[in-house]
Amino acid sequence: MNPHSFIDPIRLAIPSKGHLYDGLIEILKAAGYKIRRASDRQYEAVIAGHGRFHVVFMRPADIVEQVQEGRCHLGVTGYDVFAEHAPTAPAASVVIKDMGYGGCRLVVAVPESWIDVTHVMDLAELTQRFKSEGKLFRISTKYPHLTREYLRRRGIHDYRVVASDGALELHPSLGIADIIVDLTSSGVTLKDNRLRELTSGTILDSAACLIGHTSSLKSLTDEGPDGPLAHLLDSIDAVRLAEGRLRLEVTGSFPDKTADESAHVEKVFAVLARHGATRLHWHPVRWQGAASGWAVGGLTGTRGLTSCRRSLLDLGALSITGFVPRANLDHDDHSTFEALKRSLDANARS
Amino acid sequence: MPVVRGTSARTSGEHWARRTLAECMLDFLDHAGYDRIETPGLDLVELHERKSGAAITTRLVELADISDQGLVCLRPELTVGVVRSLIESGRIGEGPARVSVRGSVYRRNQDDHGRLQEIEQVGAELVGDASVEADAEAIALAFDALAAAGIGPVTIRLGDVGLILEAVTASGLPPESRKAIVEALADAAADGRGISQVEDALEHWADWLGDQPHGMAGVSETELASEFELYRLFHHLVGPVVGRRTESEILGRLRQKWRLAESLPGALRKAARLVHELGSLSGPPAQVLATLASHPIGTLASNARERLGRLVELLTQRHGIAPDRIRIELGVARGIGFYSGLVFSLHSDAADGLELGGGGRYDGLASVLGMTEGDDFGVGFAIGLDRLRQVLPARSDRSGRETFVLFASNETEAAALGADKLVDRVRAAGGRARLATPADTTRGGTRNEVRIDIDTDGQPTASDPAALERFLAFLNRKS
Repeated sequence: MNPHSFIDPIRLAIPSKGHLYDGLIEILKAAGYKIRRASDRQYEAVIAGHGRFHVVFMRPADIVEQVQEGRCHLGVTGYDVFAEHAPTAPAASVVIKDMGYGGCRLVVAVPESWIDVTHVMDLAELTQRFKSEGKLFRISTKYPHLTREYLRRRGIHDYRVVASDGALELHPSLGIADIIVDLTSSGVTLKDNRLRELTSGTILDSAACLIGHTSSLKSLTDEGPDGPLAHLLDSIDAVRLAEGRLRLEVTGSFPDKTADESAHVEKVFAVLARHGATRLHWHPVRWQGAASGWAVGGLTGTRGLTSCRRSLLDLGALSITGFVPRANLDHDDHSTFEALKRSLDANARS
Repeated sequence: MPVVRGTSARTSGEHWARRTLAECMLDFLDHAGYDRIETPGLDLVELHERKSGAAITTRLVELADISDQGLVCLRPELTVGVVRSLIESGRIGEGPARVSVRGSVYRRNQDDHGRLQEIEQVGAELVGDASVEADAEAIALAFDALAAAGIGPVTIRLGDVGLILEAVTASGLPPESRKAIVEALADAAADGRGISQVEDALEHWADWLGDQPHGMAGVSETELASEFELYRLFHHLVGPVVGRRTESEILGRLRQKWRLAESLPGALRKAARLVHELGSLSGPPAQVLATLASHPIGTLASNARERLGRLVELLTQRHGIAPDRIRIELGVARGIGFYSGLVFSLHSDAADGLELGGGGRYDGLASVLGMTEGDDFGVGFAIGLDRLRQVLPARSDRSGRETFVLFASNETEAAALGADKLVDRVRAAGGRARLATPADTTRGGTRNEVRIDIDTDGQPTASDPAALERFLAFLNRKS
């Protein structure tokens, strides 16, 4: 297959259910990519208005494999799943490492009653102790590769990984394993099962991530900034960047007719800028009854308005509004598409 | 279909080149009294877990669901299998055993996403002899076997992991952290990094120290709560213990940890210093041995130092190796955890010091593998054929030899004319010959094949008179 051949349809693999699915559907919808799926038992779907995309639903681990094989060109999966399978997926690359949802950590957890084991280096000695007593220290995990790699760097080798699917939290109390390496987001499930995280025991920070088949990505980026990949990535950027931003509109009147309008608006700008607002602009307005006034627009963080309201009112503000944008892209924002293109070009040269 | 990454198919030319190299070395070893043996390509993982350090165990290629005896792996190295077979056959109890072996070993390459590496090696083991003379014999044998295969000039690098172990022990580190540091060193060495990596390992321990609750380091054992009080507190605060560890194990270790927190910082600093100093000790034997004589580590491990001196003496005087072919590098942690003392490697001067092979002393291995009677000492080496091919890329003259293809119009005629007899005679005389098949008639032969026609009188003829002459020469040669 010519790696730079025109790709149609572009196959996007996404998780069939669960929090990785829910979060993605939300982001894609906000980005203008509404997935049309007849029922949750259907494993294929199309995206309204984006005919070249063909969505397939599968398990997160299968997504890495299908992207590696090039059968799917793009895929959304947990970064933890990608990292675990990365050694066998050299043809897949990460496009967006953190899509902004599905955050969790891969951690080493021990029974709460092990008050003598607080730090991951305690395992160096504990595993030795097990070995000298003729027992083999056992670790249950769905992430054998990441676990081995992490412990290897700490000189911990005397243990056996019990590779397992399903709930691992019960394994220590049932004696299936001594400790577990598992995902946690709030830590509540670990605590409820009388397990405790170790200091320096975070193996990986994970979130939902977008991956792609490297040579397919090359061919898709070659379609340029008006290609379907650029549109998709720009739209996702715009949704992610909009999060935590507030579009603001402040309107007010001038203190008196003789006031220097520009100088007054500069004072309003200064207050807003001090509180982190950017892209400030203004235009004169006529209030009902013909009084002249001003309207200032800009962009700020979600909390940007809370602290400056009083100062704005003192400067004659009559109305202060913050809109939450659905999508927002500023010209100096990070562009995932541009970054991807640069890295693919750099790799092609080296 | 691609080949599995990390493996490769070999052409006839490559086959003969490797075989020639391997046979030269194996013949040389045979003449030195080393019996050839073969060991299986599959091992039980446990065999390697018992002794091998991190350098091997983290690189095992495991195969699931193969045997009901336990987890199976492709053999990652040759020594353990050899020693196991010597124990099984009872050979080891009869006095020192000398054996040679050739085979492929398989490892995951940590730097390359754990991908498979297939490495073909020739090795020799001298098992059951603890003497420094045996060390010298193994090193000289590796050096001379390379020369026999036409590889040279070669430099020998000598190290002693016993000194590193000694330095770590002398620092006062407790056994548990010692083992972890040794494993970290072994892992680093296998990745081609030096013992300066000990810093990484020590840093993890320093981090661990920082995690200990404030003030605990100052608590002496006598100040600790009484046994009863501690248990009562444990029950009150922690509740029931689940899993495979008991309450007293947990409390016992907790107490030990409090004691450790007191002694560890100083020990860590001392270990780092000693290991770093060892790393800087490298150069010509005379110079390093002289420095070591007055060095704290040298006085600490005077036996190891004296043995190293005696080894250099034996290599130069008894085995006639020029002193400038030997370097001592005490920072070499190669195979630490598996090797117990001497380690050595052989490097080609021609290929920028490329490592061709190496080995060391592995006392204690036989006992770990289940030997109950006999001496568990051993020293040995392995040489990588891929590396030799990098240094000596020339093709073997056995590749590309011609094959005579005998043409007679049909099977009956071939028999009648005695073509098959002619084929037998060429083969017996060391040549290559075969009867033509219909494909030879339609497609013609390959470039190394020469057509010989058998005429109606049973006489060979050929369009190329020189080729015919070579053919006849085989027929006239006495087999």
